[in-house]
Amino acid sequence: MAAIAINPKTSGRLRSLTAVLLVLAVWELAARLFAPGPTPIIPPPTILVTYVADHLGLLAVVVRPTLIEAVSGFCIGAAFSIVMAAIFVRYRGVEAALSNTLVLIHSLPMLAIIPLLVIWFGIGYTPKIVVAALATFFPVLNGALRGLRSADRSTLELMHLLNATGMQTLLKVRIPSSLPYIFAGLKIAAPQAVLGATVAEWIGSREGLGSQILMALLNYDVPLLWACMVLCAVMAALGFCIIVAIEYLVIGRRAEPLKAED
Amino acid sequence: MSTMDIVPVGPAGDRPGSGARLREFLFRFASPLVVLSLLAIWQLIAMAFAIPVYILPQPVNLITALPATGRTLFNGWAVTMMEASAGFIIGNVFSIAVAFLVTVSSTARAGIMPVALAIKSVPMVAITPLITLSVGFGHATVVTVAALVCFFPTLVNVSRGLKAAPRGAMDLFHIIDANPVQTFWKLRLPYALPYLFTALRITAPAAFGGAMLAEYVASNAGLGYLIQDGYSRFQFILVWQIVVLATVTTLTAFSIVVWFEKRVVDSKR
Repeated sequence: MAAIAINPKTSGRLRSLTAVLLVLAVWELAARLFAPGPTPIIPPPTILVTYVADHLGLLAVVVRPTLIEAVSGFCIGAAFSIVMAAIFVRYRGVEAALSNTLVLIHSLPMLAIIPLLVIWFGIGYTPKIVVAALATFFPVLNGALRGLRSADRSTLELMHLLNATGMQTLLKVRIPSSLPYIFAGLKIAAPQAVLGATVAEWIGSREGLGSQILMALLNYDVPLLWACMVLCAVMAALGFCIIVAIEYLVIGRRAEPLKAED
Repeated sequence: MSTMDIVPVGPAGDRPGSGARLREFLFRFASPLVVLSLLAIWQLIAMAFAIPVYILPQPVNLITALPATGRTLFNGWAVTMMEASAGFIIGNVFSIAVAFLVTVSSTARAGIMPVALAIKSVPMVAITPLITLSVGFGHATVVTVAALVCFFPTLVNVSRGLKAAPRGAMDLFHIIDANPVQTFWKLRLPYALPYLFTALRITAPAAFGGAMLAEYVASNAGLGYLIQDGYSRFQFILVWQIVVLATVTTLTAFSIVVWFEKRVVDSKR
């Protein structure tokens, strides 16, 4: 390694990749050595991969509803939260009045909301979409609020001097400068939407990844359980990657906003 | 709530005048007023339209039913609280230890941090069924889920915080030949405290919510189990009481962390 000049970023990636491969190898070996039975609790990765390959049809049927719920919930939640952030920034009184109520809604435990949603909306897609939308709403609202407030002060003053209307300032200054923050929020929200939809399917549902996971647990169908979990994780990761790709298309490789984490 | 960006809202530009005081009053009391009026509207709608209790019970009924359900509620709450607290402590202690490891060893950092960053935003509750398989039905699963919920946010934040100590202080510790453990306790950890509290604000409520979700799937005690049980026995008042109790608990957990944060972090400055 030392002989070849590798830049630090590549070498970091190499080490991460090595770490992941190492974990997989240890997992494979340990699973085969210590739990060789027909249905080990932690099946080796190769068995998981072959299981997924053999049951693609079934898994596609299982994934479809979850995908629909997560994607529609994500879009609805994101649209709502960006509009609401714009209203908050424009009219501070609205924020003062609503912020505590929103904090209250956000601190409702997910488990507490889902059964109520099932009673109100039935066992179809709607309650899951609402949960996915709620899971999306708060990270994006947070990002959008910070973003819309991040607009450069002197640019705002210039817009004021130019006698720009509130709407013009919003469209030309605030929204463009808020994009990195909004995307940071969307990146947090995309996996949350998938997992919100999945957990919502635990309760009052007959289809989708969530209900299949519980079913597999009750039937002690370990490979199916693992396959569903892996699919759930893959969907969450894919959602994240899609947002990253869109971010790249929209704002290019601009610097990430500082402190857009939590 | 952790992700809400609550910007302190005050009257815009303190202009002296008769309107300013009224505006200040409205800004300060607008939120509680909205919450209270929502409760009142809820009560009125439920009464006026005679909405069946399983769709929307009246807030007043939730209170009047307390003597009957109080004991069940408290027992369930105590179980969930114990499990959530145990998980919270285990998860945080463990993740601070890993954060220390990651700070001193670049190999550990390269191996752990990308995985941790990827998993950070994944709610660990979704893997409850897998944990149930490996540690069994009951308290162990719930505590494990609560610990996992706390682990990754704290790890990511604290490992960032451990690097926040100013360069000069680090050099000084190096010169006086402090060992890594001393540097950790006396320098890095104090500087990491604001980052730790950012994580705790997320994880303290999340541990409770995660414990409830785990109980729903894999336990026969606690608030999560009671929600499931209450539904199957059509005890909708009890379920709604649990919803309120759980919300109050998570909000309180959040406020306690914020209170400590004010004390600890501000006194360090």
